[in-house]
Amino acid sequence: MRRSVNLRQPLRLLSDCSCSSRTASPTTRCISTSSNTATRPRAAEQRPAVRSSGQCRTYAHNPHKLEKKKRWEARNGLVDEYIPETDPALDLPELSIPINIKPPGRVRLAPSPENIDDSTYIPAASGEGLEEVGSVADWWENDKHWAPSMNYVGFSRREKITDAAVLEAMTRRAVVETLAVKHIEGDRALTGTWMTGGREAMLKALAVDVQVSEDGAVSLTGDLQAVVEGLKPAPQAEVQEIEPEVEQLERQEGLETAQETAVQEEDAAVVSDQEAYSDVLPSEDAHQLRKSWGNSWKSVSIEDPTLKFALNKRIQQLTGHIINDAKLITVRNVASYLSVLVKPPPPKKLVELLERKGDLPSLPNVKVYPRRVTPVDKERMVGRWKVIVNELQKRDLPVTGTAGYSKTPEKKWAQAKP
Amino acid sequence: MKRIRVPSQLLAARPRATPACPHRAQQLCLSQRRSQSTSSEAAFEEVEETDLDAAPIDPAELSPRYPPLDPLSKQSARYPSPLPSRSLSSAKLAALHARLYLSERVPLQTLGRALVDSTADHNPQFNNTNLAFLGHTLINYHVSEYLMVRYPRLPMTIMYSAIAAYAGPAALHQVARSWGIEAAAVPGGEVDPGLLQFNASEAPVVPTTFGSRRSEADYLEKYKWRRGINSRVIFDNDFGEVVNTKARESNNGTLQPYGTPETRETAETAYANAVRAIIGSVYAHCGREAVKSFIQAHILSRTLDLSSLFAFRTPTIELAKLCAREEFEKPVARLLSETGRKSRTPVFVVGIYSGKDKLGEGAGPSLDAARTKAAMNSLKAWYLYSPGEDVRVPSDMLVEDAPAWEPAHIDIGEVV
Repeated sequence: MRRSVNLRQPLRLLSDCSCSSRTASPTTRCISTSSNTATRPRAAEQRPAVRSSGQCRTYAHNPHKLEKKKRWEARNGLVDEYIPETDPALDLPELSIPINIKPPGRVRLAPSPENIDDSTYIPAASGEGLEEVGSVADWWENDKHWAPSMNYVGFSRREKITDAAVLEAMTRRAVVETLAVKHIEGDRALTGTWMTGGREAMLKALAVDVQVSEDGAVSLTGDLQAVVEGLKPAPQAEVQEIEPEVEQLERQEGLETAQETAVQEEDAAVVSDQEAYSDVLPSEDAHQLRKSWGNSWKSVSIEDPTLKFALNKRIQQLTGHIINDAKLITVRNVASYLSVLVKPPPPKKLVELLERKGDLPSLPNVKVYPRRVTPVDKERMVGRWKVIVNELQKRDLPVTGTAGYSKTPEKKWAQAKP
Repeated sequence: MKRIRVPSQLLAARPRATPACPHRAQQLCLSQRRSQSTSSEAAFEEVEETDLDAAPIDPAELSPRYPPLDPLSKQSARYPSPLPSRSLSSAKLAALHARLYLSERVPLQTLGRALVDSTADHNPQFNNTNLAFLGHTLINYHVSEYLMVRYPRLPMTIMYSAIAAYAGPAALHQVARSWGIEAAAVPGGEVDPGLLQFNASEAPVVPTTFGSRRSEADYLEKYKWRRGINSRVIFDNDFGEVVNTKARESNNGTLQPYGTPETRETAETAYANAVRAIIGSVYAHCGREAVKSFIQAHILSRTLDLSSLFAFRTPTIELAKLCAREEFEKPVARLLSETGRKSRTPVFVVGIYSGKDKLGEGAGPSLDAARTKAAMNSLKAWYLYSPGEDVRVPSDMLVEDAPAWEPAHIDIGEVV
């Protein structure tokens, strides 16, 4: 997905710059990539101190769009009359919406030839051959000009979980959470928006015991309320001083060299990945948990379509696996869901497939090779290859390949080719 | 891995023996073993590591696209024969093991070693010399006792031919081929352990359990001296052949052309030695009973027409001598029937009688030919006497709860 950005603030700033540099010569133009205080929007002082990154990205509630829509409706006769709203946000000369991007800096122009004291300076007559310094052409292609929070965050997990035990644990977590929500908040709550949750929420859900009686009734024992609470978004009441990301970007830009920035960005990426995937169980823990649970809980029925859909959606969110509808229809309980969900990745090579099946490699009189058996291998198996190598090396001939020699020309002559 | 060479007592030369194969007489000439009465001191000699490390670099192995199929093969290529551990992963070897219906007690490593001829790897700890020697004795023992008991009146020359027809290198070569043993083009450590390995440019090494080198061995072929049957019994090997007549000059380093009589002989001996070594390993791992049934199944079950081995020069005289020795009446030839005496293709049927007993009859285009033929048939009937198909051999007595031994028929010998 390509990122889009509202360029209101930078545009205004650029126009300011052009006004202030009317006297500059057009021969050489320099655009500074370093931001200075002049580019800093004055609205920064008016910004509220507390701002979460989630608020920074609410472009869907853009008041301009609403205004535009109302104007369109009035023009098409859908409403009687268009009366502009007296929205204080619209009247303000600057938007208070912070944008986590780094706009290009002020345009700086070289001094005109008249203002240069150097008597040996000869201005160029044409632009040909002049060095071009700086450009805004690829400005938005550079990741350094975007805050990490601007990255697309999808609903599904970005990397699919492939470990069978972890998948089973995640399924159990989803089953517990779905049943807990249904039990406490009713069927309607199953369609709500659930947070992915961190490690604590996961451990709480995994700690719940699931018992299935003979008649199919499911009983959950544990702190269900905490499990349900873990699905809801964190309360906003926590006040934290969060430095706006743009300022971080600007400061980085001003202070550090490009190399250091790259290193820090890598670190930041690693840290953010670790944070994002800290909810995944280690494989050993998942194996232990799987042993302790047994198989009885897998007989939980998910024939109720609402429950099945909620469970499927939750598993997609947690594991990144999307089960298609054709397979989902056949699923009746958790065990059959797991049989659809837990599948090894498709083998890339035939040998992987054969090793997974295991019948051929286990035969003593069958040899399965991981790669093609070349003529060289066949010669080596019968011991002739070393003789071939010796004889070729004795004659200074290439052992493999043609060593730059062309193909036989006689063949070309025989085929009467030019 | 270090390989230690132990010159075993089995392979040590007799003190006064003339080395038949001078370049490696001490290792491989088994024929000098019989006179070895005292044990030679076991000298441990380490193979130098330096020449093993100096293995030539194979340019094809440097390609990252084609890593070696067998990770052990590169290490194994430093040795003249494959490492024993590689035998476990060889499909050919496992197939041979299953095809021969060998017991699981015969390990694949032993089977792999049985396929390494002494011309490929000179170290007796890693070639099949010892196993082949063991197998050779076992095969010859069982074949000899079978022929002795089953055909007690066989003349010695026929006996030699019959033993060679069952247990000689040509026969065992055919057995090995029928088992599906394939040979490697050139021996080496990187070769598949399921392939028979021998070096065609070296002289074959025949395990010899019997006989010793004649002092006049060098002149036998040159002057075509006659070897009497008594001297053959004393000096020659199990098949009545002269022991190590001549050592072949081996020219290492140069490739021998294929299909010369020398290479063919080496190949035949290597195949035969592999069969002997496999039988020796069956004995070593499974015991006496197993090897006996194995030999019966693979060696003695082969059909051999003994009557085609005979060649008489003067059958009538020989028959007369036989009748005189056995105190029969003088043999008389009588015309039994005839047809077309005046025609181009007459047939006479002549019977030879000793008194009232008919010794044999034969048909021929003339009276003389028919009489000779009848005499031949009479002699064959005498020499090919058999006490029965289910006659017991001495090794049957080695079984527990075997019934009491009934003495086998022992003949006084052939007519000289």
